[in-house]
Amino acid sequence: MSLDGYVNDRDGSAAHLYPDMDALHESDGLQESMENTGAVVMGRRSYDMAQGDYTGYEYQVPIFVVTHNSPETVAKGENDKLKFNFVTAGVERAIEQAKSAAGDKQVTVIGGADVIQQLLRAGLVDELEVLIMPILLGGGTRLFGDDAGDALIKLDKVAVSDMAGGTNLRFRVMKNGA
Amino acid sequence: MGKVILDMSMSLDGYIATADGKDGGLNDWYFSPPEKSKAIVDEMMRDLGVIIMGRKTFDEGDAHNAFDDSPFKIPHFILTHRPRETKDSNGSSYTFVTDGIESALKQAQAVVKDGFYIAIGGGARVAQQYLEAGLVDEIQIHQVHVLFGSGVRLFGDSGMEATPLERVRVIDSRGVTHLKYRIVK
Repeated sequence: MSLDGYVNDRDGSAAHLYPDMDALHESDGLQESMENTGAVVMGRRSYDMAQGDYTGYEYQVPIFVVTHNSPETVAKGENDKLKFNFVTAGVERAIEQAKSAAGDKQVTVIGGADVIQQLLRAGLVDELEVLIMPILLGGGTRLFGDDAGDALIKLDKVAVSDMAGGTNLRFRVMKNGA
Repeated sequence: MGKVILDMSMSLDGYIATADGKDGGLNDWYFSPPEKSKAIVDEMMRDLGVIIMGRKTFDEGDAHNAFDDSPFKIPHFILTHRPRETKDSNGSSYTFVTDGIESALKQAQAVVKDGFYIAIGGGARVAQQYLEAGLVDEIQIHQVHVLFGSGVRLFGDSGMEATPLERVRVIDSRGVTHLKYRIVK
């Protein structure tokens, strides 16, 4: 996200935010995430951002898309590892299914902002990773939207690293009573 | 000319106060600094030359007598619509400015000593006004590892153009990450 909290600008573009996509893809952080991920969860808008083509997608694992309606045609790029599953029963169900598909590996939630917010508030996130890019966007879609409730969520920083020109922060989400 | 630094504590989700106006522990790092934050506090004590802040921020501090014996023995300029007499207290001065952010900055620049910087110390509206007017040189965010979920935001939807920053430093402290950026002009 940008320093002022946006994951894309007013036109819905993340191009200003990540000027060097190759550097991002080649970063140790993403490589490590790819290795450790057993399943991916994303919202419908995030899914649609690839415009129907997941050929060569970085996460070659089962993908669970949270949506109200399953699409009529499924995006290109499926193979024996990458399979799309459309979950219409909500984020919690998507996480359940992704967990069982991931086995010993982690479930990585790609976004969007609303899915992440719902999961955080439902106490379903173990770790939160935020890449802060050196830019102010001035407007757009926030990662952390307004009125997400007033329960304070404490975080415990696990690591700080440089990633693709930005600062990557990894946190453990402290559960109630922990 | 002193450097102008927007200097604020903020939660990871972008808030500088909770919905009921409390600081929610955002300034704990300053009042009882963990090891790596001590350098930040020392630097402030050493290099901070002038503080500009909004009236609400001042009044909140004043209500707790925070300015009766401030560790910052420096000029303070307070933006307000309600004029008030300048207050002097133990080596600090508090001047109330009614004719806008540019005037306050001009007055700050006139008194700041060589090698010292001017801090824009909030609230959010004052910070945004200075940012939008292009009057800020650097942004220092003390990012506290907590999510508020709601509250008073530092960065609003401002109509500001995308503004590239250059990272100056990252200090990885306990419970807080001190991020400093230069605004690329």
